[in-house]
Amino acid sequence: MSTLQIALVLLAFLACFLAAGVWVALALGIVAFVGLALFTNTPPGINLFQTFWGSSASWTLAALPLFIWMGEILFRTRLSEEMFKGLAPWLNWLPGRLMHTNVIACGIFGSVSGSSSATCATIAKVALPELERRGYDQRVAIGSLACAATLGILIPPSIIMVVYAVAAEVSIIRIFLAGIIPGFLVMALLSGYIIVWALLNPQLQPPPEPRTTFVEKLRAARNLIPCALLIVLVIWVMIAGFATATEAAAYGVLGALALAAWSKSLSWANFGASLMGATRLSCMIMFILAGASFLTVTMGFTGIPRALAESVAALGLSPYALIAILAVIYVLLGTALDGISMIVLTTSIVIPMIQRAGFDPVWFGIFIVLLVEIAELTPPVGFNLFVLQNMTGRDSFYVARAAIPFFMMLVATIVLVTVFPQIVTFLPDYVMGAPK
Amino acid sequence: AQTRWDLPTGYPDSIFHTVNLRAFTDEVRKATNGQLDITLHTNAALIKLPDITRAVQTGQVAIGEILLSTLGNEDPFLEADGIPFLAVGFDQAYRLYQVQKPYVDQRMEKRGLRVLYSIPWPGQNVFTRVPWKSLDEMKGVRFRAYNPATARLAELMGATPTTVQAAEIPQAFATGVVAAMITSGTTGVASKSWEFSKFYYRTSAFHPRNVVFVNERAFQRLPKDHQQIVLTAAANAEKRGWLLARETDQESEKTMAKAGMQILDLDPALGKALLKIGEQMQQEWVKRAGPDGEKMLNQLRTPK
Amino acid sequence: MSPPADASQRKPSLPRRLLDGLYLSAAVLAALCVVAILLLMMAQVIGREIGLQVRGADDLTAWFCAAASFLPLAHTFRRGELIRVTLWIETLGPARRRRVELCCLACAAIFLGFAAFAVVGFVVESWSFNERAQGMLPIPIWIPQVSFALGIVLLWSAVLDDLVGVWRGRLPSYELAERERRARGELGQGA
Ligand code: NA
Ligand code: NA
Repeated sequence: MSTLQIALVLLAFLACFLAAGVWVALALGIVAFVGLALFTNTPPGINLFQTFWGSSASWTLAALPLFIWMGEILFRTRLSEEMFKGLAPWLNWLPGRLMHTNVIACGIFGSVSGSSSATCATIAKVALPELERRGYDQRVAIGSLACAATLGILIPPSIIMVVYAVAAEVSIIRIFLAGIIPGFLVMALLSGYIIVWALLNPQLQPPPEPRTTFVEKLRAARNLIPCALLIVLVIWVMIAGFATATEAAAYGVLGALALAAWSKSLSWANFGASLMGATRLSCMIMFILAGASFLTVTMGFTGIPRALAESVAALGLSPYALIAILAVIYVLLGTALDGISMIVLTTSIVIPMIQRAGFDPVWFGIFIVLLVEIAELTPPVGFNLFVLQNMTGRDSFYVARAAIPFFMMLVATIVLVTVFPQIVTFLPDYVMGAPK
Repeated sequence: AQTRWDLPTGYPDSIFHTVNLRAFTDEVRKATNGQLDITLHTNAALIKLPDITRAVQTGQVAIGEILLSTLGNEDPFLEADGIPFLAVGFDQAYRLYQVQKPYVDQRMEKRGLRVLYSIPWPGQNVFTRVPWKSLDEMKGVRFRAYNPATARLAELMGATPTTVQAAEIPQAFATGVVAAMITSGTTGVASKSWEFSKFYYRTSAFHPRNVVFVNERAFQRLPKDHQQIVLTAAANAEKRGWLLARETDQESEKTMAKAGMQILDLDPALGKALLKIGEQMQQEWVKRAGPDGEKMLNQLRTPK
Repeated sequence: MSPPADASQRKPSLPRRLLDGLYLSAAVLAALCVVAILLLMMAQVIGREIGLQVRGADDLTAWFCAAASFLPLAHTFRRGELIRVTLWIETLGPARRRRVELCCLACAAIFLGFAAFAVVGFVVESWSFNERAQGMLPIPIWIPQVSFALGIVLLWSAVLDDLVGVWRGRLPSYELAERERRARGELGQGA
């Protein structure tokens, strides 16, 4: 059987198991196991053992449960409610009003956390109940959140960027800087869509908040202080060199606990419930990640991503055609693989290719990160979809449909950074000088 | 019939070890007319670095590459090439390799592994943010340590051994989480060290080696002529690799200098002090490594 | 803790309570591992400030992270929080749905059976080879890996548990748990 036929068979298997309702992590595991048993001569058992263990016993992943815990604590305090109270009068004039908090909050949290799942879980826990309570459209709230949460990997720090930087040997600092302007661009486009949608669908908007004077607005803004303090604390410990990006998560939890204690909403029951909730949610995410890395190994042994990339290399395309084809391939891989796997499985072939075509590897890094963001949103395997399914009880396909318009904004970003690569390269070149 | 082997490595594509591995697999493929096809999997995409030994032992893959001294926790003898100042510079490192080889081969044989070849990393040198002239200046400095030997080295220098994951080094330097580290110039170039550190001190403290080994059963299943081809290609790879290591070292110094780093030799007094620390570490190692360690050390010290 | 596995409101049987207790204690242990990660990271931060290296803190963190992800599997499964695609299943009538549930559970049980044997086998092998961790803490690697074996075996048991239950005509535990969450208003109205 040819490599591409094997790929199709495996994908069909995966689709069947998932559609029938087999748990996602197990469906990934079953397909990976069957794929190894049928198409390779490496024993599936030990591969299962090593990939599940290697994927979960990970120091970088350890920030995930902490950030999720932080969100669970904040959810159980009045902090989120207060934050919305503080923001509401300021956003009254803007079409879409508090719906924009999803985008802003994800942008801010994205500068603290390096993962999109952690961003998604934290902001969903805090923002979704508030938006629902205030009568905002659930579909748009969920869709915008699913998409905005991918800012977690586009705005530094970012686990995906670190993986890419190591695999492609580009400067981590440079690529972190490169993500900032595209991050703002994505935020602007998402907010722009919310404005347009709000203007076109006035009947779906909740009744406006009462008009307030400037002084009242300022008074309401006092409610923002605790949250602002928390964010400033976490960013400050990173910049001041008290903690690495991963350790900052620990400060986040301690800060959230302190705020909860200060606002008198910390009880043992709350503490326990938040901890157990965080444990279950991160267990779900990490188990799927482990399943996905098992599938990655099957892909590696069967050589599917390599064959795909090699067949592209053999085409001898013009630079833009190459980028277009690569985008399609990464979107296809992204339906079933997680972002880290997409990168480590393909860089050895793709990086030389794009360098030959004259693209800057730092630019390409941001391009790949944007495609990984898309992968977080495409079924059947999209981590933001899973997080939101777990938290809202709506099926991941519903979440995916709700995210489509916002997803298109990501596609627009990809087109924009391809046509105007300066969006990516300007900041690193300005700060660090042009690459040598 | 065609045999297909998978070869996982934990390192990225452009590191010279990987370039050399690729040349090795190409040579084997060509010489066997494609009958033995070794697929190289870089970037730890297939198997993570710490799992590769066991993966080859159990037949999960037929062949693999690891950093030898990572097995030191299981068998301290295998740490020898990771002990600072035991063998300084490429020539001493080669001598250490020759002396160490029979012991290593025998130990790997016990695991069902056949060592094909072994290539050193360029000398481990010290990267700092501020000038370093005497041992006193290292007092209390946060020094990145990545294994027990480098942690002990930092301790004996009076520095504070600090754990930072490789991926977080640039950030950690930039924000002051660490202020010094020891690694090869190659790694320095790969991580663009000039963006976060200024000074590079040639210590050549040790040359840890990568080894490439094959599962003995998988090797025995090959036809005799293919076995010979693999061994010849391995011998070629070893020759090429040692040369590559030296060349890469010089090139990376040039690259770093061009990027604005100061490439410096140690102050002689400081060099002496470090050698003394090295002696203490060797004594500590011999205690752990047992009779074989002592035997090997004696061989190393008797001139040829 | 968990809802009665039977539609009638009998007091849960002893084996039921024992199993649920087992799943829950493993999850609580995992939660303590999350706390341990927090403490370790803080220890590392503080240690650095006062010039003290917390030896092997990153290895320990990784192992606790693994334990935190494997130990709560059974509990998370029974709470309906392991994600699956329910788009199609929800359109089915009760009888067909039960048959599909049985298929899913059977697939899961077979796979987890293989997995449990493989994982336990390799942990035992790590132990008999006396394989050691490669980082700063040279402890035998089977010690942290026990959490993996335990978590998978417990998940297998939870799946078999539900397989038997659904076979006997009960509703699956995860289904009941999700209905309960919905009734408490923790989830939206459903797709
Ligand atoms: Na981020
Ligand atoms: Na996807």
